Amino acid sequence: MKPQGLGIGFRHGIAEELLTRQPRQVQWVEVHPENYMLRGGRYPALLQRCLETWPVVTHGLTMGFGNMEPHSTEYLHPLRDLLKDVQTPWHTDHLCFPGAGGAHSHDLLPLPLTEESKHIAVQRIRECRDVLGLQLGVENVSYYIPELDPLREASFLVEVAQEADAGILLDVNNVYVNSINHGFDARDYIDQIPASRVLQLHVAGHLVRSDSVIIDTHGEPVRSEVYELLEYTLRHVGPKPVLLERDNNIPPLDVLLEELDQIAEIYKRATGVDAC
Amino acid sequence: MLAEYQARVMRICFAAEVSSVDVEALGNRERWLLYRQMVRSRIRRVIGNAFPGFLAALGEDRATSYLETWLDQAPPRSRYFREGPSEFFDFVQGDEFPLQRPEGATQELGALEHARWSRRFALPALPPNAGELSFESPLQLNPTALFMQAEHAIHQKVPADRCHVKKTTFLCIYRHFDSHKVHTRELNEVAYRLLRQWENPDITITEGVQAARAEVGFAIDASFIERLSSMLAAFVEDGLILGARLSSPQTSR
Repeated sequence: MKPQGLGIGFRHGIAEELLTRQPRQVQWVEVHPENYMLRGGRYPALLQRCLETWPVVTHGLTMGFGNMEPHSTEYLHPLRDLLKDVQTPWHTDHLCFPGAGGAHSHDLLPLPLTEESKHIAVQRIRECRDVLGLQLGVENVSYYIPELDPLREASFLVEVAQEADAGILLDVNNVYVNSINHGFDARDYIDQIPASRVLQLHVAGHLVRSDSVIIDTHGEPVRSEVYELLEYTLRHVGPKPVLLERDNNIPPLDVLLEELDQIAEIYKRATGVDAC
Repeated sequence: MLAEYQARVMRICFAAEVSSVDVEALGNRERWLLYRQMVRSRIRRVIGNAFPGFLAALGEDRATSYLETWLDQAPPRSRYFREGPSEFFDFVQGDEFPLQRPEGATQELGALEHARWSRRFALPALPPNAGELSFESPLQLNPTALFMQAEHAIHQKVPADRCHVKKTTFLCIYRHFDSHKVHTRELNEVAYRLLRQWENPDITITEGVQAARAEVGFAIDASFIERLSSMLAAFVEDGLILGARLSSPQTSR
């Protein structure tokens, strides 16, 4: 089932309460397959209960379409099985590289925005889609290296998506973070994204350091500037599903639900559609 | 070009010393060091979560050396973040580890914490089917169970300024399939020997008792049978024994 309206990251710290309360604000949830693949224990048990309650959308952490090496079937086959089990309408991962030479950084490392990077990303997306048999989406990441040609970032993302015939998971907070760190107009960025390619949106909080560098932490409340950009984005792309991401420093569920209420107001104002 | 770029970034993240050649080639030293710090701090955090006692027993300087050496020489290979602690501990215990290895209670504590961490997500997700217990059938143990013999009472918490008591200790670490909680259970030697025998899917409870008696020597009398029955019931209650093993290609005979 395709997600509609607002979703939330199904994180361990809030999972039990979410399942018990099933709040009206939550229409769907997002899970990271790596947290459930080839694993016993509490997580798979929670996922089973989750599947009985909401549509589930998957969002990977380690595929990183910019990897030089193709992904092994040891990873892709269990991933394919999980995506099938949860009946996700699409699977997304990041436009970055998570590691090289067999080592994993467990972070989202930035790609240089070059033709070679684009070629590799397009190739990886096609290979993965062939194995997974499912629509894929690429997410724009935050990065902190101004030398990587930030003014080309939006067009790079769009070119990769178009050449690979992939969707886009547009992370509004990441656009905001990069626009401030690298000094470009976030609205110009949003304007370059074809609405028809957008599968879903992410919105999250970030940390402003004392040296003014903004870090995408997923550990803070969503800031008003990001809400404003979300409204602008929704006006541009229409009523796409929106996910509130909170991965660290997770507050009580009611605090997150208040954020979802605020996003629902924006959603209604921007699209005319009730999000929940 | 891209391969060289990625290799440089990975070296910046993991090498013990950041190469000025790499940083100059990529530009913006400060921001690349930010990536290095973010990558390393996240990995350190998960190692700290998995090995609180082990790292404390090593002491801050030695623990830092272990972590730095691991990241430099054998950085995480698994895409599953949860497996980082296993990779770290395997490296510390492996032949290639260049520093002084952990010893005694410190090593044993590391092994215990590693067992506890890995049991949290050890496969399988669902328990295998099991039948009603019978002395003439093989046992179905909880498949997440790990057994340890240690020379210190490492399962007991001790104040930071104390050492673990030297005492031969038999432990079983497993995850309960209903609560998903990891249990650490101290066993006496006979129970330990019995359970180790019953890990073998091809021997019955009775055969396991005979084999354990051959190892450690104990009388099989009415009192023993009574205690054995109580023990089996307790282990079933605690989710360590799931019942009788149902026939499988390995056990059918």
